[in-house]
This record gives sequence, structure tokens and C-alpha cells, in this order.
Amino acid sequence: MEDETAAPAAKIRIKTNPYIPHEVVTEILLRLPVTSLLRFRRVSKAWNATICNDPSFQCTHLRRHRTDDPCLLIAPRIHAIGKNFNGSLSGLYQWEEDHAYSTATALLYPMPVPPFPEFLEAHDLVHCDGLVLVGTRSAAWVLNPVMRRVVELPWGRLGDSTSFSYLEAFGLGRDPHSDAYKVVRFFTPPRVEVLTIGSSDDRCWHETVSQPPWFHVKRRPAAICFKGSLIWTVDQKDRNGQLGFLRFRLDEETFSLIPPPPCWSWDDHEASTLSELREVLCLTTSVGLMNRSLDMWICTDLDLPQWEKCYNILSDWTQPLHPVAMLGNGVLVCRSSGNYLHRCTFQPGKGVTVNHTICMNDLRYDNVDEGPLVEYPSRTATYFDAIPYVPSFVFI
Amino acid sequence: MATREAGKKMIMLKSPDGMEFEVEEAVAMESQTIRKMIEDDCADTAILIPNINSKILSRVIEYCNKHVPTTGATGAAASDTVAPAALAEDLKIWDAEFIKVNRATRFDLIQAASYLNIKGLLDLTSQTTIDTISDNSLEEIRSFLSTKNDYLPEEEQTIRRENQWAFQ
Repeated sequence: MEDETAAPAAKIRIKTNPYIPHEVVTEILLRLPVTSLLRFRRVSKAWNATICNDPSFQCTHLRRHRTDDPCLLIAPRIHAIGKNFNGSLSGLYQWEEDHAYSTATALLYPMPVPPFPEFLEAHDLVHCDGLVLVGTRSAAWVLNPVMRRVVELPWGRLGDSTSFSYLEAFGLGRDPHSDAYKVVRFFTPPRVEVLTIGSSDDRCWHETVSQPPWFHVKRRPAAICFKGSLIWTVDQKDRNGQLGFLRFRLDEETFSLIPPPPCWSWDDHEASTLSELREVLCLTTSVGLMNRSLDMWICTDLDLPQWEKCYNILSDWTQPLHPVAMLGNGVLVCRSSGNYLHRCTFQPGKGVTVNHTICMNDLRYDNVDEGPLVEYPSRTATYFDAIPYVPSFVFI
Repeated sequence: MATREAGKKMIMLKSPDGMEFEVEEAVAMESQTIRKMIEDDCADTAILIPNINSKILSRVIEYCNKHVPTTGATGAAASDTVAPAALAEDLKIWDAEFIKVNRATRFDLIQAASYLNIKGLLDLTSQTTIDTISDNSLEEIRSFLSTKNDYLPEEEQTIRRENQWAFQ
């Protein structure tokens, strides 16, 4: 009945092209994925300005999609035949879950990348807000794959002045105070240098004024970015025999130690993995016989850090599982040695269980350049990076 | 639902074209904007809702009436007999009917939901629009959203190029 009265009015309005307020367009654009928005830049100048030049739009868009649509990015490292330490990154692939889930149907959509040399001798990929840090011995880059942007990082001031040794630990995160993205290198013995991306001084690294405490940190996985801090796992008992996690505040560039959960042993620490899952800092460690069980602890406040044991993950796999990402549909993806990915789901009454395991060599990779559905068998791809990822408009 | 219990606090909402709508406070507070006004004690007698005409405001109230949670003593009879899943399914069907409006009304509803900050209504109206346009050509989108292509051909070409790798 409402429509009957509305219909004639609507006809007139279509002819006269109703004025559509900017906030209506913004509400619609905020809900669209980055790939659609890139196409819609060409609709009009006003749309392009909102999508590409409005920091508050970009910030709201990222915040919304960071919690709604986190996904997984997989990068195969390809062997160059006859060259032991040479290889390349053939592409970044975004994981798309198929409803009829099986080993052969998890299609990954390509994000072509420029040729990165010496990729086998490389740091693990690092992700923060749609930016990916790619570091090899001879060069390092920050890229935004959907925006097709790459920035090559200058040589640092500390360490060897013409290499990014894989013995140093990398990190990438957003400084909440300045909204700038920072790349951080942690050297042993401990010294830290920082590069701010996209600022006027982005060609120069600077050493932090405050010195890190005497800690070695684990290089793998790379630092976790959580609430404006980078967090590394301490890799060696310090002089007081203390275990824990090293926190680096990206705004103040200061260090502090996050204590481990209560009754935490050195063995627990060795078998633990730190990850960020849906804006919660998460620590998992293998317990029980043959790694069949995984304890998951969470921490939400870095200023008053407290660990709370929340889940226990059961698996039939004998290798320890390491959480990688929590996808938009609530599926937890873990990896284990040998390029295996495990899809874990929560079921009432049973807790978190692994309900599917696949090898990344067996996945099908949709690649526009080399024809659809490329395969990366174990003789060509020895290692796969698998990192959480959220497409974004962060400009670099 | 026809008879409201006595003692419930009512709020008067006024549209700029002079219509007045008396609604339960709980219903009005589906709007975060109105909730804030009530909590800040800025809503003694009547609240004037600027920019939203009576036709759109009545639709918004209709939506809020349907979506106000039926918890506590008032909703006991309804929620005891109907399973939550069935209730959600019922709401979905109701939403699908509710959003069968013409284009201009839908844009007005988006604007109203945005101003009044009603998340459910904003999601519903915006998502329906996205479902309509996402597979369309740029020209169709321009026409649907009354936007003109104000690019020169070479400017459009530049943006095309920017979507390729800018390898430095």
C-alpha cells in the first residue's frame, strides 16, 4: 500500500534524477570490498576522492573489514632449478573458501607481484592492515597488493649496511598516535632501528633512543602487531631467568616485558606461538602426548597484561599446530610443518577441533598470467608463506 | 502488541512537516542518536527529527517497532512460545518485504538510518543497494546512483593505469 502511493512519485524522481546525499553514497561504499572500490574509482571524481583521498573513509572502511573479512594470503616460494639459494615469489594468493570443501577446490585468487630476487633466502612475510612486508637478504619492500603499490626500503644504519640479514627479526605495525606505518628491525645483540613509511623522512632509518633489554627474540613468526605495539617472543632466558614477550610501543618507541601465563615452563615457551586473531592477542602451546592437544590463552590489554586460558584445540596431527588466522566465517586456520594447513572450527559440546587438513602443495592456484589453476608441487615449491590478510586502501 | 501496557514511557517524535508520532521509549532508543538525546536529558517533551519527512519517519518507526527486543516481562508470552531461530527467520522475511520500496525511498531510508544511527536498518538498506549494483557496469551504476561521469578520457585512463603495479 505504501508502494502504491510511492510509485508515481518515484517515476517523476527517476526522470529528474534524485539528489543523493554524500552520506548515502559513503554508507554504500563503506560496505564494498576493496576490489569493487578500485573499479568504482572510475564512476566519478567525487567517488574517487572519497575512496582514495579521504583518510576518515579509509580508516572506517579498514576497521569494518578488519573484523568482518579477514582472510589468508599464501605465497609459494619457487625454486630456481640448479641454484640452491635462488628462487622467486610467484605471486600472493588470497584464500577463498569453497563450500564443498575438499583438497582440490580451495581456489586462491592471484595478486601478481613484481619479481623479487633471492626469495628463498627471505624473511617470513609480515602483514599489517593490508600492507605486506617482503624481506630478502639483498632488498626489502613494503607492498599493498590490491593498490598495486610497492616501496623499496633503504639500507639501514645498523648491522651490515648492504644486506637485510635473515638473522635479524622484522616487524611491521601502525603507530596509533601518528597513524604512520613503521618497519622495525631487531638486531642481536639487541639494538633496534625504525623506518616510518610514507613520511617525508621515509628514506632514513633511525635507531630507537631507548635500548631494548638484553633479549634475543624469535625471528619466526615475525613480530605480532597488536594495539599499536609489536610483540616478539623472547628466545632466551635473560639474566634473571625470566620468560615472556617483548613489547615495543610504536608511538613512544619504548620497550617492556609481557609476562607469560602463570606456571609457564621453558618447555611451554619453546612450543608456544603468538598470534593476533580478530583483535585478540593469542598464545597457543602444545600440551599432552604427541602434540594432540593445544592450549589457547588470550590477552586483551597490554597495559595490564593477563592471560586467560580460553580454549583447548584437539587434533589427530602429531606435529604442533600454529594458529595463522581467524577467517571472517569464524574458521581458525593453523599451520604445521610440511606446508600443511588445518581448518579448525568450534562446535558446541566438543570445543575446537580440526575438521580438515590440506597440504598447500595440493591446492589449486588461479593465475591469470600462467593460465588458470597453476600447481605448485613439492619439487618446485618447497615452502609456502601463509599469513593473515585484510585488503585495504592504506597508501604507501 | 496492539495494547500497550500502562506506565510505559512514551516519546514524541516530530517530523519537519509537522506530523507527530508517539512511540515507546524502547522503540525510539533503537536509534542511537535518540538514545543519546534521552540519556543526556535533552528530550523532555518532543524530539524534532530534522531532514526526515513524515512518510520516511513512519517507515523508520515501523522498522524499530518490529526490531525492538521483546525481552523481560513484556515479551514473555511471545518469546516463550517461539524459538529464537524461528523468530530470526520471521524477521528476515519481514525485512525482505519491508525493503521492497522504490529507489528514492530506499535512499531516503539510508539517509534516515545514517542520521538516526540505526545499525540494522542501515545494513539492510545499504546491502540491498549493493546487491543491486555490484554486478552492474559503471554506466549502470552512474545512472542508478544519479552520478555523472565527469572524467576526461585521459583522466580515466590514468586511473586505469594506477590500478596496475606502480613499481618504483
